[in-house]
Amino acid sequence: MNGSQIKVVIDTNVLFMSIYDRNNKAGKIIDAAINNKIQLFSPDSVKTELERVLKRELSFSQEEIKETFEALPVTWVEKSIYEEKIKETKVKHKPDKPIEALSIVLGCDILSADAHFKNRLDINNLLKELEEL
Amino acid sequence: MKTISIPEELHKKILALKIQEETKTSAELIEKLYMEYRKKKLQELSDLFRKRMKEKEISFDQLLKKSKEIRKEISDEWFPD
Repeated sequence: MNGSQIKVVIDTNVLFMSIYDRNNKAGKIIDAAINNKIQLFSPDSVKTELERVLKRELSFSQEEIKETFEALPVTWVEKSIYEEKIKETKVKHKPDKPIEALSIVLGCDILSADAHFKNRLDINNLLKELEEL
Repeated sequence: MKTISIPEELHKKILALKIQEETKTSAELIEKLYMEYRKKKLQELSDLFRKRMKEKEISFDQLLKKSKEIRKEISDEWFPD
């Protein structure tokens, strides 16, 4: 990792897209993170969301969940680091606030399939930017 | 920097692969191999994910919908008014 890398807060929906199809645009973002071209961050609430979906909906075992988190090139950020910024968030939907709060803490944009984030990145532009690195 | 000891035969294989992959150093080669390993693990995860979706007869859109419901549940637990 180096200081000049692009930093992004990634949402659950993009993570699921990348897992569902490794060759789609979301999959390319994940590969760019593995290749150290981009740093991906997400709040621990997203990690818990991912864990509960995999466990409840797809019956992943604890070991499979552990392997999932080891495979994903994401830095999970604890609630204590972003919760103070929740009151500064603009997004109306309360469950999305941790994602925006973390983006405020890190001073970076959000990669999400949900259009309601104001500082949402366009995945095509991001991929273009990564190709130029 | 750290030093690792490896058997002579493996050392030869790494040097040969270093030339083949056109990497400047053995460290760069190992980093490249590590990246490929992580991509392979992700592919295995993807295969498992799709297999379970098929077994559970759940579509990708349904999964995202469930995910949103769970997000609300976590929000209510972690950030009660």
